[in-house]
Amino acid sequence: MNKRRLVLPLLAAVLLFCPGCWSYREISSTTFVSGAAVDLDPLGGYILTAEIIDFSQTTLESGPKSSVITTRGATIAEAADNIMRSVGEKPYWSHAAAFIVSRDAAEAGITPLLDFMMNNIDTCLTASVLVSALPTAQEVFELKSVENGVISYEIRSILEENADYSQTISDFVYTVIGDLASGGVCAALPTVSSYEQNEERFIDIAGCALFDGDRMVSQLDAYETARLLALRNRLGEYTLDVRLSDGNLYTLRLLRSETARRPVRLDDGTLRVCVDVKADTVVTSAPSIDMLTHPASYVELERAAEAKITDELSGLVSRLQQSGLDAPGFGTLFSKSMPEVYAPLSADWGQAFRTLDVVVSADVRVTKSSAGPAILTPSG
Amino acid sequence: MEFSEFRDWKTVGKLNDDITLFGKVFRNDDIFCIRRAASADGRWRLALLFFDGMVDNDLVDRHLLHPILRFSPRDAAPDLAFLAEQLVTTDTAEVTPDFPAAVDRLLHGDTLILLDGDARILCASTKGYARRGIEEPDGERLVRGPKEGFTESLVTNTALLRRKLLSPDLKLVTMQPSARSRQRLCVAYLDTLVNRAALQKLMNRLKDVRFDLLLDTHYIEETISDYRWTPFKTIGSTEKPDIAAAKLMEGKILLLLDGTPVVSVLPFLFIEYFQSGDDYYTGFYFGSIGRLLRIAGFLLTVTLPAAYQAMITYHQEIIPTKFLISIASARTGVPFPTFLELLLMLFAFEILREAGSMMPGSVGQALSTVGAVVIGQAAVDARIVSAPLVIVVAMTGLCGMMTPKLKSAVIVLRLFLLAFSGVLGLFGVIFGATLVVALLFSMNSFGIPYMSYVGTMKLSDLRDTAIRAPIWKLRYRPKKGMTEDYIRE
Repeated sequence: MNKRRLVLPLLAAVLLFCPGCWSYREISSTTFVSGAAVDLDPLGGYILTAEIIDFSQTTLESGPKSSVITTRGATIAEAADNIMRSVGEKPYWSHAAAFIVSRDAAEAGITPLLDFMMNNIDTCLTASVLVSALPTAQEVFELKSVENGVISYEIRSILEENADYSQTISDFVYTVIGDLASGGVCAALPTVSSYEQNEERFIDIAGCALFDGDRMVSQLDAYETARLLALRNRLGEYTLDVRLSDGNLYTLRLLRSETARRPVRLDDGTLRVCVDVKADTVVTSAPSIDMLTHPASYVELERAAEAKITDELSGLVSRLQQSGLDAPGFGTLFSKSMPEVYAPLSADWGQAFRTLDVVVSADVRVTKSSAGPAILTPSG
Repeated sequence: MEFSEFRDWKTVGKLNDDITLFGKVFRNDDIFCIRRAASADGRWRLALLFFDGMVDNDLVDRHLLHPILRFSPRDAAPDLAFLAEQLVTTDTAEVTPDFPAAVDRLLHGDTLILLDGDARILCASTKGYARRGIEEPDGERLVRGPKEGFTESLVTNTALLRRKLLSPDLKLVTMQPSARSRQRLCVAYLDTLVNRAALQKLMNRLKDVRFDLLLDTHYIEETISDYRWTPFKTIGSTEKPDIAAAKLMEGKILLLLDGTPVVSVLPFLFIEYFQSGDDYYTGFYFGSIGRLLRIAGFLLTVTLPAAYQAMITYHQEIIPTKFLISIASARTGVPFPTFLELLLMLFAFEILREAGSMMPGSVGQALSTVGAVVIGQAAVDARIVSAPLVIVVAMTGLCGMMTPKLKSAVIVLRLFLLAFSGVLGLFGVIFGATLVVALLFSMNSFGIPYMSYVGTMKLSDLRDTAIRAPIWKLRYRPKKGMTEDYIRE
């Protein structure tokens, strides 16, 4: 009985005294890194610009502030460790929201950055990686943000908002890593640039960069990125301008859209992907309200929108096929539903993608307008 | 003089000698009164012995002295039985030859009558010591429901119990566990509902209770408990007769002690910490919400400091970024590590609480409020502690006040989990919590598993635990070994 009574206190003593406070770190003696920019060093290696939270400037009224530290290293990890030389505390990466690579570094390959993020135990894989459209990635931290706070967190909130508004790709880094590993889709990262207002430069995130493997090879603007999202069945709300035969311009807002992508193997062995886009829209701008009271107007609008969507998506696919970049991810469709077909092609899927037959169709429904609910509910 | 010293003494029937005998027992006791008297014709000589302040003087005068002084026995032989049956008009009057028993009655407020020529002693009930009125107990105030509370008088308390349970099934067994102070202890139970095994255990354990002075039932609780070293008690308590009666109807046993209004209830289960009389006297929605709040409050008060400490020092990645920045900004300039900060503030809170409870009434409340506000604000302004920590400690303290019965257990558990979290982070909190849960589930209270109805998957067992089902659904008494007759009428 005495021995049994000793077990609990002994166990408690072992648990209390042996682990040695394994990961203890006071919050006040930690340097929080909110984001980083990676540039290629002309002398070899990398230039890492880290944005760190500056608590001495952070107040209740002004919100969080940041300052920037630039270090160099033969690898990104070495450059990250060198941050300690400047601040005297170990940098903490768990709350880093955005990693920006320069165009040069992206064209050389983003694997070193992804490797750093994967191997660093602190780094969260829900951070975002962006490609800088500016000459260097470092310049992004010199831009202003609307809220005048921490640039990296501003970038993150823009990406989160844009997820519903289809201006750019908003994937977390673990998705990008998955895309790189799967091979059936080429990775796409959002691009960050700037716009000028009142002689100040502000952050602008729109468009995306496409990768062949881990190297950047192409870029899409915001308009094309929205089409890419539609092909990936990730289109959120979007505004579509449609010009009718009479020359009038209408603006439709896509509220809900769904893209069905069916991989098909034809009898002659040809591979085809049928892309069917279904969208519910509302008319947000029309030349005159009178036109909206005529049922025929709606039919014509829907037909015109369908034609536009079909043309634009087909055009984007053709362009991507010319570069062999399967950004829509048709390879992933084949690998999931027809693995026996995909397997022999997986080694060089880009080449197979060039000759893939993609048929796009669209079904647009106008559900509402400023004149009230659409007169015709089932279109056509 | 101890009872053992005069165990074999006897009165001899000679008034002066008998008075001297009592005088030896109560020498140097100035409130021991001897009133000599004689019958109207002077043939019978008597002495009344009583303690000043323990008797009702009016009873002694009108119902003892007055009849004796007006009585003329003529040639009748001195006979105390005659006095008891025909003259004395108190509600009880017994004649006994037992000297120690008579001394015991005297000490309890009775008046003894010695008669020259009769070797026996007449004990007449004349208790009239000052008693506190029946009031609502401070610690068990209810919004709705009976407001009676037990008092320090055992006679009053047993009467209050009797009024709730007008049944011959209610048994009240009295004993005197303390040989020196001789307080009376009463064991109450319902004969047809009580758990016989628990009752037998209790009686066996009470035989071993030895105290010089029993000031409260807690003395007995600590002695007879199953697990004396744990902060969780296996014997409950109440000061309300309605709650005591309800516990009796569940097959439980009560211990009532003369001199304290606190009645012990056993067996006691862990889930009873979160039950309150209010739950049954208000609607079942309110009652259920109240219980859930108390359970949540207990969990928060025990784990909040440890979880805060763990997240701030080990698991900063869990905290949302904006919140983390806010906490880090607030901690700028604070010299102490988080662990020390927490200990300081928790210690300060306990000091304020204790000081507030020691002070009388409104002074105590004001002291607690002002102290908390002033010290908290001053400490934050002086950068001794950070503002988020003051909020954590305040929430911890407030949640702890929702379950006052768990006060000591909460303080111990809080520090226990805090120590673990300081070393191992959230893993430490989980380890510590696991040890506590293992301990709780291994305990039992007089043979009944302590964690009965906790973690059960049977709906029927949940009706009166974390929630309070409507009264028409509570058709069964607690089944887990309490009583075999589990269907309520």
